[in-house]
Amino acid sequence: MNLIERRTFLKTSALAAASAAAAARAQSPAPPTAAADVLKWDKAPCRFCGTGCHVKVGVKDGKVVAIAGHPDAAVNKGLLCVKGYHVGGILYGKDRLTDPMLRRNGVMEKISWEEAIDITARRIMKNPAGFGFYTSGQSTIPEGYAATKFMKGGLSNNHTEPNARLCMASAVTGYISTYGVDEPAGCYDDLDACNVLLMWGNNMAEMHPVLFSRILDRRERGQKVTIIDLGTRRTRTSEFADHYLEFRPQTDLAIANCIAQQLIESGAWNKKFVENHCAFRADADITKPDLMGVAISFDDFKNRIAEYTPEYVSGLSGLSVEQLKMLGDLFADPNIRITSTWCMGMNQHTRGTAINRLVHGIHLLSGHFGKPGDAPTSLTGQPSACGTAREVGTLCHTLPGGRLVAKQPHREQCEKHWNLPAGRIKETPGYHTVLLFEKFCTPKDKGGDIDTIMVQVTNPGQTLPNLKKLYTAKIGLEDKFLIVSDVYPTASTEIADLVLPAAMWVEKNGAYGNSERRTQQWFKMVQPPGQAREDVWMTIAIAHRMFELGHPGMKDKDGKFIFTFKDDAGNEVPVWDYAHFHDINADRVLYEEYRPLTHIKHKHVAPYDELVKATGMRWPVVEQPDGSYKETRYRFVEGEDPFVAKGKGIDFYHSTTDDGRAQIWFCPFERHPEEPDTEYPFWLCTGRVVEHWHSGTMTMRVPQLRGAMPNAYCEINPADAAAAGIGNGDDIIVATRRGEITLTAWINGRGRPPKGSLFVPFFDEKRLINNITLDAYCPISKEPDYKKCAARIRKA
Amino acid sequence: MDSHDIESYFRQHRKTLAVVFLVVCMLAVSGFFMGMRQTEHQAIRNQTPTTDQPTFTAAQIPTAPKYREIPNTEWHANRDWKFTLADLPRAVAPPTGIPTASPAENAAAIERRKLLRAYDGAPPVIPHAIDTLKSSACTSCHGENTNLVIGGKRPAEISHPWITNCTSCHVPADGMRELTEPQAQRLVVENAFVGKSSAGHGPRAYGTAPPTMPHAVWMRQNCMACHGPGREQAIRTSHPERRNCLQCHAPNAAFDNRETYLTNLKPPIDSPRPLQQ
Repeated sequence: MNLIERRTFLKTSALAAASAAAAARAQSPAPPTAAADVLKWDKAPCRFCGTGCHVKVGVKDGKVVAIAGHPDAAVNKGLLCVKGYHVGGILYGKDRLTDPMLRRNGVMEKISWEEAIDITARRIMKNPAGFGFYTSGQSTIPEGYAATKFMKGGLSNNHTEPNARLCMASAVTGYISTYGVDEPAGCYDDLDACNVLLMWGNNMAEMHPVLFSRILDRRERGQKVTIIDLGTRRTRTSEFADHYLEFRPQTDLAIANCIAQQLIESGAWNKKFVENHCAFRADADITKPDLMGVAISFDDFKNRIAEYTPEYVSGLSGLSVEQLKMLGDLFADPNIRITSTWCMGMNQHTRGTAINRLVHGIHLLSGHFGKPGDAPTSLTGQPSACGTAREVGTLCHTLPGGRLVAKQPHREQCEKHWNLPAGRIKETPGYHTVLLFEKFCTPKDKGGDIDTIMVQVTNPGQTLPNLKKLYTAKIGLEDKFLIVSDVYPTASTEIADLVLPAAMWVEKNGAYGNSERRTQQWFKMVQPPGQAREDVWMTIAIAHRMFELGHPGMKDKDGKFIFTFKDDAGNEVPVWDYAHFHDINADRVLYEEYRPLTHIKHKHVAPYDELVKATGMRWPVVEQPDGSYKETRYRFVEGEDPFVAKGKGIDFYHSTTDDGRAQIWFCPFERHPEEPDTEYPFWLCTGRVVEHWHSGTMTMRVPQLRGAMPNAYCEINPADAAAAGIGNGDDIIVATRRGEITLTAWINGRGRPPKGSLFVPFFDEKRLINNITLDAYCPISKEPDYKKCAARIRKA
Repeated sequence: MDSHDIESYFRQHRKTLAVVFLVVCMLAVSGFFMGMRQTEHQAIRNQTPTTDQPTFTAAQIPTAPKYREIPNTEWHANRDWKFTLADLPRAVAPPTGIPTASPAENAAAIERRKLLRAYDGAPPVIPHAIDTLKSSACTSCHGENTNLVIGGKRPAEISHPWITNCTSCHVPADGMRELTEPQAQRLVVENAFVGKSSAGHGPRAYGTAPPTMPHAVWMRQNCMACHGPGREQAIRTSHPERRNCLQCHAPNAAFDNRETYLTNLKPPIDSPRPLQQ
């Protein structure tokens, strides 16, 4: 009996049993019986954060009706967080966008898809160089791939950016300048093996709760794990931590340097590891930092780090000398395993690249690297920031597979793969996110050379910093045209000129890549509402309309359309015609076209058909002699990573210095550009809460999540509240140099900021904290700092 | 005065001294017992609201007195107030035997249960305000074997005690969060999600066979958390002494939520994939 028959048999017998039971109870009014409720289940990664939990989705009568944690998924082992359990509800908010809408004389009017695609195509044709494509770390891998091919290969335009610029660009520059290649060497298995978990500004209990539970579960099993929360405010994570080390914002740079100083001073640094596998590096000119810097000697490093003594850093950071020495002693101990994790605390930082480098540096210097449980690992906030934004390369300076637009061979490889004429891909990087929106919000005669932006799968109207400057300044600029594809009305669609209704999550096929290099795939399970369609279809349809209108870039070397879709028999399928879009799996075609491009940086993603069978696989995924595929847990480590030769032990085979060495950077402590002063005496930090995900577009439409956390608030220290005459629940006005907003004060609430600092979550579109956040960014990663700016408060 | 003088003095005044001694003793004894008596102030402090104010209903929350009024204020408390958790009544000799709930009562119990869940299997929301920071606050009432009775009800017992970050899955129900803004100032959108409802009774192979389980078991491994003595009558076991539940109550194929893709076949590339019926 084959599997399909066995399953049918099981279901039939269950039904038979149920009918018998129902018949026996027929005399009395019986409650519904179990088997009447048979669902069709399938797997999908969760729609929300970068953890990459796998869920099971239960579908009945074409609707999602239940969710379960996937017990076979290595990431979450059957557990989910409150958002994951309620992810099914995100599809069914009553205000789903169901028709393309065009703004005519200030009023949004329904139009047809043909018209919408035509308008978009003609608008881009008018000024191809002034078009920007703003995608997302929530775009699926095929969506990102189609967008980057359309823009860089078709339009010869590098103004494509993902919102991931705002969340992990500093992690990318940290990895690249340290190891020569992006993405973590370790993985979540480190959480099961470490003795110490050191979280750098990372409220894991709320932001990555399933990963945090992996650690807490170990405690329940009687294992000893020391949890250290290095933070700027007391959170749920601090409550579970063995040590809560509260430091002044921005001084994480000094703390990391202090750990290195102690390792050198005491001689406890791992000399063998450093001699064999590392080199030292620093910026040539600290006032003009760049990605690669210059080599420095060990003595030079030692001299520069020498001033960061525990006594000096204690004065800067507010940690005690004992606390700093405890950190130094932990790294000095070769017999324990230390895992460092971080997310936005280190990435959204005006010195984001520097702090990322420093944390990698102390792990390398101490040799806490490459063994299970010994790893510096960045966590991502979006489900495919790694899989799409970073691996596919939707950033303005990247090409698929870790390639750069600035590198001639990389452009050539892509042109060859895409069968494009030589020189099609432009060598200058496009505008990064902040600059892209600044150019869009600036009148053309004042240098604003971006006149059309298309937004997919993200909500810049809520999530860009300093929104008045970077988003709403567009209002009234007649020659600017904003196209937004989304699933619900948002702060972004509110000022859009053309709104496209999108299919989401299990309403379409998709593939994501999580924080630990795990690529995950899912199939469409339910129909999108109304006229909502797949984002990948939109991109291809626009490209094809431009092809029809004669845009030369939409033709390959042979004059054919740049996207080709063939069925198994080799016949071309016109997927740009929506009637034929589902004739084949367009996702699989695009993914398989993209896959060979991942090999140059040894990021071999798994074949699509392998992903179908798994709850995700961690690249490099390499074919074994028996034809099976094996994933990789630890990169650069012999015996784990298939690209490390036997006998090497550890090999950083993409070293920036081409000698197998990783770089240990020196980066000095530098002050924040907007420190609190007498006029604006508070630090203002923004972030998330467990119930809501990012701008709340999805989670605010789930009654259970909205009910638990219905609106944004401002956390304030009781002493500061008393001084300002503010009581719990009072309306207060939070002001920065960019404006002010009104919020309720929450004293001794969920998070407890120290004296002199405030915290406001950014999920609430009725209380846009990003109207007043700072748009200063890291000079290397161009990632803005949402975590720090100067503010003042008063009672409303 | 030598020792002889002292002795003679005591002999002469023997009676007077005895009277004085007796008076001192009486004063001491009566003073001791007087001291043992409660003062008015102490009497108020030691008052137990439960016994003194038995008439308040569980729903009533009395107003706290001002500090200066405390000595003269009568203490008000709701019916179930206790100073410490340890004083709360424990469930004693919970009812056993065959549950006698009518089908209507069963249906009502299922309906009550549904109110707190997005779908059958979803983590229930919390029907009260919570300490937003610490999970230890949750486990003091909902932990294993706490066995408390609050307001005549037993707080739900954790069915998966190895998971300790309670608020990562369980959040307060709508309206239970303090500091909620008026609805007009919030984004409130209706949602048409209809969750899978509870399956009701598990089917039986024949009339008196043990029913199969009408739900998945994952995260509900502690059967007694819901089916144990003192729990909702509709789902209470009639035989709590038999603790190996799965020995007789089998999982139900209807709750097999394994994916329907077939690993031994080439995956279909059309989308959406056809149903396998």
